[in-house]
Amino acid sequence: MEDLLLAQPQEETGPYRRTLVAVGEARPEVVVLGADLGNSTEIDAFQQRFPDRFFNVGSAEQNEVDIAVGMAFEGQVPFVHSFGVFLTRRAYEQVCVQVAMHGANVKLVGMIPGLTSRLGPTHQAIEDLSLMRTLPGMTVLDPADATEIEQAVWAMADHRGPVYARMMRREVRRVLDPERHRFQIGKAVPLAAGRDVLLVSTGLVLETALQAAAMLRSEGVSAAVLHMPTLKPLDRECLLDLARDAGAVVTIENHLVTGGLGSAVAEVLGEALPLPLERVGLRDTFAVPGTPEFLFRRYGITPEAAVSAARRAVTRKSPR
Amino acid sequence: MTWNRSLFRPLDLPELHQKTQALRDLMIEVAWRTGGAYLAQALSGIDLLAAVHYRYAAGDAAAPEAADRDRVLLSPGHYALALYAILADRGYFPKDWLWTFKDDGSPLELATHRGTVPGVEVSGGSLGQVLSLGVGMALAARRSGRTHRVFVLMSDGEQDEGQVWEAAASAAHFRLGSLVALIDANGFQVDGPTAEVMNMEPLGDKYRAFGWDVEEVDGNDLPAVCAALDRLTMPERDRPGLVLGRTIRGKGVSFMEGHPGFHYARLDASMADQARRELQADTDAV
Repeated sequence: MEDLLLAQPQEETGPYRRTLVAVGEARPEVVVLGADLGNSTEIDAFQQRFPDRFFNVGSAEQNEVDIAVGMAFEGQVPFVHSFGVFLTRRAYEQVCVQVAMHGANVKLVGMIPGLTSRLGPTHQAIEDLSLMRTLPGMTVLDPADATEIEQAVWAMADHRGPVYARMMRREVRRVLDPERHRFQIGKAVPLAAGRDVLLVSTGLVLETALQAAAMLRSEGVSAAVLHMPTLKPLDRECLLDLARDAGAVVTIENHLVTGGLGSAVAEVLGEALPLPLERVGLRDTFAVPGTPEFLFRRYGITPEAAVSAARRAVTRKSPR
Repeated sequence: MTWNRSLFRPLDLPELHQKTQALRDLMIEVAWRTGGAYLAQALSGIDLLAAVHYRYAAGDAAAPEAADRDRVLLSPGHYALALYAILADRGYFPKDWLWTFKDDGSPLELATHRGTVPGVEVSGGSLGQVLSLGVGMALAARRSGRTHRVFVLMSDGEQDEGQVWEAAASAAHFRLGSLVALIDANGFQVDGPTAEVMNMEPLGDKYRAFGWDVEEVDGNDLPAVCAALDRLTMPERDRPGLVLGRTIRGKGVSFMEGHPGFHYARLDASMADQARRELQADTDAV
């Protein structure tokens, strides 16, 4: 297994802002729609560079999504922005019956994933992956870091059809080596081999999974790590291969355990390879407001929680 | 020969009048022969939709996806029968298909869906969304340097949807003079008269306040409708235009006119016969 991780993780400012401008330079058909959150969704640089290809519709996400569909029907490639909660909750019917139902070539970019918003449950997108994953034909992405954001934006522009992508802004960790990592829609990324348990993560909790694997290793448990930045279509073959070797699976996500990664993995295992599965994430609750660090601790989305889940999963394995 | 806008030949007013009566007759025949249809609103709105299709929206069945065609978007998909009758008459699909209306597997569905038959540009079944699609199409046309227009037919009932007003504000904000909306204001929605279910009047004042040019006319009076469309399709406009057409449900059929029923009409042979005889008499009188 090739080592795709940087020896020393870094932090970077605004990889999305930068990449969107670069994609705009290379792809003249790309247009950008915003909903009164220019700086907050990092589309301000695109606006300055391409004022004729930028459309601020005000805080009106339903209108925003359908305007984008009208543009996509006419051959443009709209990138549609707001916080993830507003695109997926408020504009859900528009996303369903105009974007998804027509396979419209619209890219929905939901900023501030899961518990990383400071504004509390109105702004915490904790079921966005679930809502988007259930829509027929929708591609759903949750990139882990700056490297994957940079690559995923290009992949979205080149992919024909609807995409929902969670997006991180401002200071973003860089964990994956941009020289060696190659993001592809629908491809899972094995990051560590292991024979006792498989840790599966999506989005920014990749680092949580990596830390949990290291802790498990130190206590003699061999933990594999599989990163799944594409929730849909899920890389079923890769998941089954690694799950078969490990015999037990733990999912870790910045989201409810229902409808997102935990459910997606459970569906595959349930149909093809019934194995002990433990899911780390929010469990049937909205979260309180707070810093991400506080919230991840409070709701048990931590390396320690993942280690406990792994121990439970290993214990449940039938003797070989 | 490839189609271009200059090949479009608009009907004159007498021809348009004959045409709308023939379309009414056709819709009644379809509703009767296929067991039922949303007929009352198709009859109230057919004059507005036909005026656009036969006189103002350049387009041709031979090139239904020509880049410079005018777009005609039907927002309340329940008006499907009116659009299908027009598209069949104009040769967008074989007229025989009309007799399969809403059969399982037929391309002619009870409500219009994009991709089912040529000439159906959007899916309008969920109310209040299509004006936004029209804004997007008009913005895309501007970006591409094209000058075609986007026409959107709405109902008065769907003005209840908040998204309509998001779209109305944005159309004026983006100075979309190429966008022309029409409202078939027949005064009824599913649960009853709009004035009782949810009063959105005065609609004309509301759109004016949102920055639109509004022409409020008798929407079943073709010369008035066409005069309004003449004004709203003048070149170099930078405000969106609205034809607020005051219409009569079931227009052209005495036992349906203004009647609160017939939202979904099942006609028997004698009703269909009476309706068609009245239309014939009216046509002959012109």
